[in-house]
Amino acid sequence: MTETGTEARQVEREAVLDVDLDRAWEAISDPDVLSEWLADEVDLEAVEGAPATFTFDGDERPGRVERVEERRGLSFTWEREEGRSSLVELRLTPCYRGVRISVRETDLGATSRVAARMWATPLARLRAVADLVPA
Amino acid sequence: MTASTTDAVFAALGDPTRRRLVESLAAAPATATRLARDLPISRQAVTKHLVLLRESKLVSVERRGRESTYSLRPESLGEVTGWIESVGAEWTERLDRLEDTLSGG
Repeated sequence: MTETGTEARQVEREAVLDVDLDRAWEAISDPDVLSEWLADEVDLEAVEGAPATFTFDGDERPGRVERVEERRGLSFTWEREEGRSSLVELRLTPCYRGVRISVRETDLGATSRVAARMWATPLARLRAVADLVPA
Repeated sequence: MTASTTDAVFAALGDPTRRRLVESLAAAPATATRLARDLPISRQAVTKHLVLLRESKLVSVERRGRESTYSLRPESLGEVTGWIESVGAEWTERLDRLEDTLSGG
């Protein structure tokens, strides 16, 4: 596992959803709806600090909800591959045609390195996670 | 690397100065002084950015004479673009599924 280019590993995508904000928020915060598109199965509660599980091809990957802004956005960390964590930020913005959803995933590097920077309080954890994300 | 993946790597670098530095080094290795000449920031500031680029292994450094020479590490860029391309493709697929889910009802 390498830390090569960790800072540069970030992708962004967005789409406009032809639904109202409540439905868009449900799509990113309700585990039943998330299981329709995010992964084969998602076990997640939209509460900051709550652990979450994402199943890909029968493989369960652990994660944690990092930030919840009701009807605005949801961020979580997950191990997309074993031992390597990344931060996923989902953002909703109402627009003329519906709701724009933007997603940004940032590689955080080795999970052990991420875990070592996590502290007891949710706020400190959020700050620690924010520190790992390039500006 | 195609122009669009280069753009993706540059965008992912997240800082316009670091993107400029990577572009310059893609053309040729250079010292911090040379790089600073093309930028509206001090040589010290350039060095700070180069340190970050070295930490993420996109850039390597060689001591030749009075000043160190920095070079781009293309193999590291390849690893980065690989991640960007496959993760990016995943998200495109996910958003397609999301749109299908929401339109299907």
